[in-house]
Amino acid sequence: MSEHAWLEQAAPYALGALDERERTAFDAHLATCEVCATEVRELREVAGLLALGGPGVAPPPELRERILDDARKVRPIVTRAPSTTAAASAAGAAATAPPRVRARPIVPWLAAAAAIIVAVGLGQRWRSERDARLAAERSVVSLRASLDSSGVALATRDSLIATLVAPEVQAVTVTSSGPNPSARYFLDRRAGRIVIATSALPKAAPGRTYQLWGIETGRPPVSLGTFDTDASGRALATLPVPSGLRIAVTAVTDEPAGGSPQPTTTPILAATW
Amino acid sequence: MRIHPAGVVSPDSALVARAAGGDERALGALYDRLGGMAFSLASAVVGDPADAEEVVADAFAQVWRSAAGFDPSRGSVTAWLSTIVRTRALDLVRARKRRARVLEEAAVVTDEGETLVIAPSLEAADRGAELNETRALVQRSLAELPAPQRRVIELAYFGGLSQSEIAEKLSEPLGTVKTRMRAGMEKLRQTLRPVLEAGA
Repeated sequence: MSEHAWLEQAAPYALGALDERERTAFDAHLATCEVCATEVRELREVAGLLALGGPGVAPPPELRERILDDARKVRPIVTRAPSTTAAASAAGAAATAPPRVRARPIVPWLAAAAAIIVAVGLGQRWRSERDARLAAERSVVSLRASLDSSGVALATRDSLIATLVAPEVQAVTVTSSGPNPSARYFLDRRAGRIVIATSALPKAAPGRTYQLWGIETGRPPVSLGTFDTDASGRALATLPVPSGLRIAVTAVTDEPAGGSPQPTTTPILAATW
Repeated sequence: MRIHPAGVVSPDSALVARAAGGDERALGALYDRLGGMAFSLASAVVGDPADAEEVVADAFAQVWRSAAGFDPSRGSVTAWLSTIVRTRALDLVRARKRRARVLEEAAVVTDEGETLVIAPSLEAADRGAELNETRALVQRSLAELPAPQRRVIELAYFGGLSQSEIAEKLSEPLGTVKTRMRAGMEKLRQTLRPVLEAGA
């Protein structure tokens, strides 16, 4: 094709009016021809302005807030490697199995808790990246409401939501029977972070605090940190997980202010992972 | 009260850069500047306002996610965003296999017997109070094009048709369609030059 003939393709190219075969050929040409590339750049600007030739109707006022809401939800896309093959196949196997509640306590002090706690797995296993993200985003939607009302600083909230929507995050919801405390855990093993969000968990008594524990099978609980709830029973805490700790169970205990080296009361809100 | 002139006067590409850094207010400011254009374009392609809203929300979500990949040396934010909006709008229309119907519904036969895709919209725009200078110039430029040139450009840009599809639809020789499209774009480039030079 002559140079002249190539240049004639610029206008239909900028308007998206080349068929696929023509477009592919022209794309290849553009990589080598500065004249045509410049022409396309200019005509694309012309085509871009055609957008204003559309109907002069104003967008609905709520669209702006919706866009910003969506942005807050998906915000921090922390790029991480996808799940390993082993994890993915485990997810495939688990996907067909019915949700189950682990009946056998991992450590003796959980025995009492096991009787009253039901751990419902939103995702007690590795899921495909997409499933995990969908689950996390669903959780985020409901969590956002409580975040909004809990007055968490915007920046904190955003980084928190970043954690929640990371592809590898596992989420577990723990509910107890009756109108009792419940909690959601979001565990990002790769980043070494766990988020706990509670509701209806009464404020700790004066001089007391709540402490979150991570338990590796057959080993003593490891403290993940302390947190407190607000007047409405809500808490939201992002706590680091020591590297190398293979959490099988998480649970909360009521401890003296400052926390304890090992749990001293009956665990609540236990979740199996 | 504090005023943030940066969010108002800085070029669109600076706002995209700030959005890439996670600044929500930059995304909001970008929407304030270009949301109307995006909605206008989406409406022209998909017809239905609810669909247009969907398209614009998706497009700005894409802007938000891919802001870091925007390269100002390759074109303006307007061109970038309109490409995103147009692509998403056409995807939506195609997905619903409504393209033909939308074009039929939107088409009107003018006094001269010409079919203009977005003529009714222009009338609606004239009634609108917020007709900024650029919009006015774009619409005037389109209106001044010879109708056959304008028609092929609109069928391509808003209708998503290729040159050969346009030729088939209009029962015109392909060469004629190509000539009209080029000539029309060349005229638009001339009449829109003030905006193009100011905007980049």
